[in-house]
Amino acid sequence: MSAPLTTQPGFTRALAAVRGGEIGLLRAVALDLVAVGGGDALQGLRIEAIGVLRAVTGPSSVELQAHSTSDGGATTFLGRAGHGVVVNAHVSVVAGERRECLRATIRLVGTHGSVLVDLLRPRLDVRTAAGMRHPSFGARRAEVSPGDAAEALTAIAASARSGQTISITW
Amino acid sequence: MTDHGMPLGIGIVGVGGIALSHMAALRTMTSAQLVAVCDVDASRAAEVAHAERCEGYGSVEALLADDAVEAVIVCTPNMTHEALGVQVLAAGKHLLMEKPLAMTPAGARAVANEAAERGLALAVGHSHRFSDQSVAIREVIDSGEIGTPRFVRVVMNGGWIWPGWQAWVLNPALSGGHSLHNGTHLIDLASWWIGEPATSVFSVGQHATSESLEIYDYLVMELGFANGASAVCEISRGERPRSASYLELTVVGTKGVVSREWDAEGVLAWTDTGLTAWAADGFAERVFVRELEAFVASSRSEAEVIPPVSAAIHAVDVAAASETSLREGRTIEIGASV
Ligand SMILES: NC(=O)c1ccc[n+]([C@@H]2O[C@H](COP(=O)([O-])OP(=O)(O)OC[C@H]3O[C@@H](n4cnc5c(N)ncnc54)[C@H](O)[C@@H]3O)[C@@H](O)[C@H]2O)c1
Repeated sequence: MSAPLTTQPGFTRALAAVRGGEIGLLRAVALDLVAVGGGDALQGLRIEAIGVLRAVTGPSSVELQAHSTSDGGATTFLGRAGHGVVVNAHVSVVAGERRECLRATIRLVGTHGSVLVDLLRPRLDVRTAAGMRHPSFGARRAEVSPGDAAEALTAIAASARSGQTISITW
Repeated sequence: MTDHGMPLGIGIVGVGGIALSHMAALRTMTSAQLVAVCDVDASRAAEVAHAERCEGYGSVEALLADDAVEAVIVCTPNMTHEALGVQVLAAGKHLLMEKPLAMTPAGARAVANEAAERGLALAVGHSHRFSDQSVAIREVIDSGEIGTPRFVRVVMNGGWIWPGWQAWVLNPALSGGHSLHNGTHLIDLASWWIGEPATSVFSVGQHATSESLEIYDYLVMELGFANGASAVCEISRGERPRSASYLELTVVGTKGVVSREWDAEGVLAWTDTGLTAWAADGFAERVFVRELEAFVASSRSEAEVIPPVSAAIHAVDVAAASETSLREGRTIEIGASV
């Protein structure tokens, strides 16, 4: 079974903390997703990034500046959501045989505390003479679910090309 | 003339908060020795001089007239850096300037030119370059293991540090705003790891502790680089609880990722205050000793200054542009605005 990142248990616990006021009012969100795979992995990852951010901020307009490498393998953006929440994300793919993400973290910063979620946990730490591996357990990591982020992604790409801030809605 | 067999004679101008870290480092060093301090608060200078067994002066002029002072560390508020820097160098002393080098791009160049014309060492206190983890990350990048860096994330989020943040820090006219005051540290790390200067900056900020603050105590700067790489630099002095302290250093390359994990300190503690990660001892002390050892070596022409003066100027350029971005809400090209 695979599931979208928005159902990852650490993430849902963190969302509950925001909604329950455990960290006060949400002020900022930072997301990093770095996967291993081919070009198709990147598109899926970007869609997932938008889905995760939207789950945190709720539907919102966002004024942002994006950057992309010329090969399109890495995208970063920083912006301000309509209600003043600072949002930023980095999404990239390292070429290689598809396997678990190299990095997947989200940090939610509130007026009265913050939460950092390693989206790759829970996982085991297996060390042998051959080396180290970290098999995850529980809900299997995502095969990306198609989302409706196409417009936002097009606008993000346009900002990276022009070097100017743009306004999007997610 | 510097006698290489003797410790380098150091004078400190401004003996407030950060001077304590430099003095603690100097106590453990044999290559340099604190010989004099001065402060506009002459009684403070006398008190420190008594404790450190060195000369204490109530004016910079008096300190610079002391022949035992071969090199000077300027530890005064940011708005004094340009004038004091030029004055120290004009007196023929090597200079370690606390960051930022100056409050404006033109000011940074004025100090750098003075040093270059006189052939004196000019180092700027970008102390994070000397931390164990920063050096280790740079080594991983240099090894080629993660490929070409294309994203850097630096996060230094802490709670309110009153009374450490004195009134001058909170006044943008005196500190230059948060981009210059603390942001320069993060800008320096990001461009050092990416391996080239940034070409644009877009910043957003919040008055996290109080709406009446004039500086953005929570600041996020997004840097763009000519090679398509980017960096997100997040610095906060407005987190709650006040004891909050979160450091994250990540570099994503074309072949992999290096990151300082959240439990990098190696000690997780469950106490009545909840779960906390404890830092290993000695970390901060090593940073300042290394910074000063590097300064001594460059003063004696034994090594290049770290960071290069061009990097310290660049940090001021980006930080000044970041403050413009905060005011105008748009992306600023580096060089275009200054
Ligand atoms: N590298 C780091 O990590 C780091 C950390 C903190 C501060 N700093 C930098 O160090 C500098 C000092 O910061 P601080 O927190 O120690 O400030 P502080 O206010 O605690 O101390 C400044 C001292 O300088 C004295 N002073 C002011 N103007 C003077 C002048 N013209 N001549 C002589 N003395 C003068 C003051 O009386 C005071 O004792 C700043 O530039 C700051 O940005 C760097």
